[in-house]
Amino acid sequence: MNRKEIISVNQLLTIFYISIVSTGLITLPHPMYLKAQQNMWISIIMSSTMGFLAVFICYFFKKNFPDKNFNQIIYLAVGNRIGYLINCIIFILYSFDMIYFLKEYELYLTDLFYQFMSPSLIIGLMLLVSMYAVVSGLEVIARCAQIIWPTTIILTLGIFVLLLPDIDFKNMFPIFEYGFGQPIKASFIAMAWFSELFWMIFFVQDISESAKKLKVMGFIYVFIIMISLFLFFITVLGVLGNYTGHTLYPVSLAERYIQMGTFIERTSVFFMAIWVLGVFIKIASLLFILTRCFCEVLHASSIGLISSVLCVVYFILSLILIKSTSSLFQVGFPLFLIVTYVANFGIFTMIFCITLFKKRTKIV
Amino acid sequence: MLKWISRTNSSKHSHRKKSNDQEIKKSSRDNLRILKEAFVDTPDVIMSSWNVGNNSSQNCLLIYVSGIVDMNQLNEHVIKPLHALKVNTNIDINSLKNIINIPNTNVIKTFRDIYKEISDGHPVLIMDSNSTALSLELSKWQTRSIEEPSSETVIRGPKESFNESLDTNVSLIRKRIRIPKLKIKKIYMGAYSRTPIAITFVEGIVDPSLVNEIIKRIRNVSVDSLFDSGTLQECIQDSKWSIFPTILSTERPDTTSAALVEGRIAIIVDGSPHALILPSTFFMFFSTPDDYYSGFIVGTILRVLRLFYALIAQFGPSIYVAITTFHQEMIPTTLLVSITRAREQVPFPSVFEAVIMEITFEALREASVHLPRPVGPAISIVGALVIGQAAIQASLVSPLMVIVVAITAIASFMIPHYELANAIRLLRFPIIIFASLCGLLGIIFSFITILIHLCTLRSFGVPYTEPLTPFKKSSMMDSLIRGPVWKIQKHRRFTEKNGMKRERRHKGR
Repeated sequence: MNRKEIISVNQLLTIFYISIVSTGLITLPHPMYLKAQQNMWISIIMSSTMGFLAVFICYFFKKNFPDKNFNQIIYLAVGNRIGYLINCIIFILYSFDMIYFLKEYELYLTDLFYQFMSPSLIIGLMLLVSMYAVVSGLEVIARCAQIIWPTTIILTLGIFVLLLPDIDFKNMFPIFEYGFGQPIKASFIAMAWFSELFWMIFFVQDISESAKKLKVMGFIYVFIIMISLFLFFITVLGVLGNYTGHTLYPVSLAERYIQMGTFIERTSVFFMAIWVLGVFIKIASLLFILTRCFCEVLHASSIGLISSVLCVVYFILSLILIKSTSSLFQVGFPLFLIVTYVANFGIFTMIFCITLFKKRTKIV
Repeated sequence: MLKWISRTNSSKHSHRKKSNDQEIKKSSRDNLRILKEAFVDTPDVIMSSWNVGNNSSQNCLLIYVSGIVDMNQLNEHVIKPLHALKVNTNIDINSLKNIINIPNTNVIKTFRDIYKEISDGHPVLIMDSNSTALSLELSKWQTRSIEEPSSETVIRGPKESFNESLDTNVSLIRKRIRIPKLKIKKIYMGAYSRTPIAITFVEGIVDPSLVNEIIKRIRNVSVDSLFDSGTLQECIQDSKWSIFPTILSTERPDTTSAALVEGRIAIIVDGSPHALILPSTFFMFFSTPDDYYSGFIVGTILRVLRLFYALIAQFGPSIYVAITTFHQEMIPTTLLVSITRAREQVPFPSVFEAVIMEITFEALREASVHLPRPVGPAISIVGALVIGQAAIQASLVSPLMVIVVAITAIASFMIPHYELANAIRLLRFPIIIFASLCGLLGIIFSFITILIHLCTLRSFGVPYTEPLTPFKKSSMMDSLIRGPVWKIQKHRRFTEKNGMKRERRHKGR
């Protein structure tokens, strides 16, 4: 997969903004409320540290290895054999992530909007458009993200502004009622979402701009992501209060309170439509990473063939592996957290430390 | 057998080629014989010969195609002076130039040149004892006068449009860009039609590699005939399989001139009243000259309105189908009651209604385009009364569906450029089907597919979705919105490297 792609830092970061915010706003409020109750909005601020760390590590790699892809960086750090092994591990772990995202998206739609629609149709359509985007290239995914990005911002601000009359800010207090433990524990959940910024390492070679710009813009975007999720959290908490922990998708419940002029109401389906756009960007970018990894593992170059094979595999696995919403939240979610921490934080930080050590000792 | 046929064909071809490449003879009689052999059964080709000089020793042969030559000038400045010639010696071609009062003449040497010149409307003069001939640029093609644009009308602004004459069209551009840097490269295309094409650009602003690329693409096209710029557009555009146009065509000289000043290239084809502008981006298809002549606030509002209605034209009926089929909970109760009441008697599902109504409307539209003007109103009566009113009364469609189709139709007419409107209209049908299968999810996936496709498109190397993505702050002022004239400074990206800026016309502000 040697195709030359060039994207700007802004385009890259909009991919991650959409990926993190669109899925975070649906999945995060429920488990975070269970851990931190009314302190969940503090947890989101704490968890952004993972985003800053991810941006810094990406900056380090971009600065020191501007023209090398991630696999070459791994091979330089740990050698060819272990590097190949790490590549395989990343591929397997990300494959699990992919199945989790597909299932999360499918169950959300079938639970709330399309009870009678076949899961295979919902997943199949998403995989088809994602495959089309991957075959078209990273530039196309980035351009789609840049067009979709304003709609995600409008979604965030729209929900906040429209629900503003219903928000009771008292629901956010008291803070630290049971000490710092609760929000810190909850922040580990949101950190998994911020750790998705580590995926930027796979696109380091495609960025046309300098490492410094990546660092500066990266930090700004982490801050914007944090603010967007923060707005969602205080909206959900302010509208639903203690009821936040009783429903799996609190944002969808809060959206139902939106009413304009007693005529426009029950607009959640429009928010769902915009959310699907965000999920598309996330799945397409992850499929692109997986296709790249697979190409590296097999030394293959046919993107179309490999991405279509991967799509078929994920389609079958996502239909077989997680059957219901309860299994998704009880088994899938904890497993997803572990896998994400190992794949994103664990492996990339390890490579970073080894490279840093070798650099200090002037081995690399 | 096949070999024999191909050999025979090739020998015939080579024989014809030889006779074409033949040089002009010194004997006028030989020349006349060859020309008569070539122009058998062509009564429009006139060959007249007479003797000139005091002792009538030198024969003169004039060949031209009647109907495409300015006969007055030919008589006045060529035939009369030659008849009045009083010399005793033979005249050569160079002396002939001084005798006739024609500013543009060319010396030609072969019969191929003669055929070419007379086909272009240039009479050819052959003098005895000369192995060269003189081509006289006295063509006068029949053409329409300059009229108002038929498809790009404006309330304020110039009312001139291109016609079918290449020279007139070029002159209309020259009238607006009066600098020597306006360059015109002429190429002939079509094995049989030999249609002249003018590639116009402003030197210094345009990217020279773009000019070379366009010339290369045109030269690579192999067609028998070229009668309109639409054929050329199809042959040279980047994505040949895309339904979206990546080259803008316009019949307005002011739009063409504005594009040239922006650093774009215009291609004018002889016989076509539409110039091609390239590279073209998606948002260019939403701008009209009115935007620039009616102030930036009104211009911006109109442009945003057009974009909004383009979305309605694309997704209007499918949203109706999705909501009535899958998302009834979205409809306010009072509205839902009235919709249900209206659909009570209709036996068909809303998707069937939508598709039937849309197809009917498309048929009406297509019929009205081809009908003679006096019969035109009849189709509206049929459309409005028979299909609209009668279909509702017969409970074949609901009144709301007719309203949705009508709004969609009006919305599609708001798209200023016909090619883009066509693309949007045609894509509407699969989206309606998707909406009936998956509701709003189907519409979203259709939108994503179109979005990916638009993002993959390029127009001569420029991303089709520029300046929205890749984001170009400088060009944003003249894309989604129409910024103030004094703010629209920079050229588009493909010319930025030349460091050119638009001249500030409002320095005092």
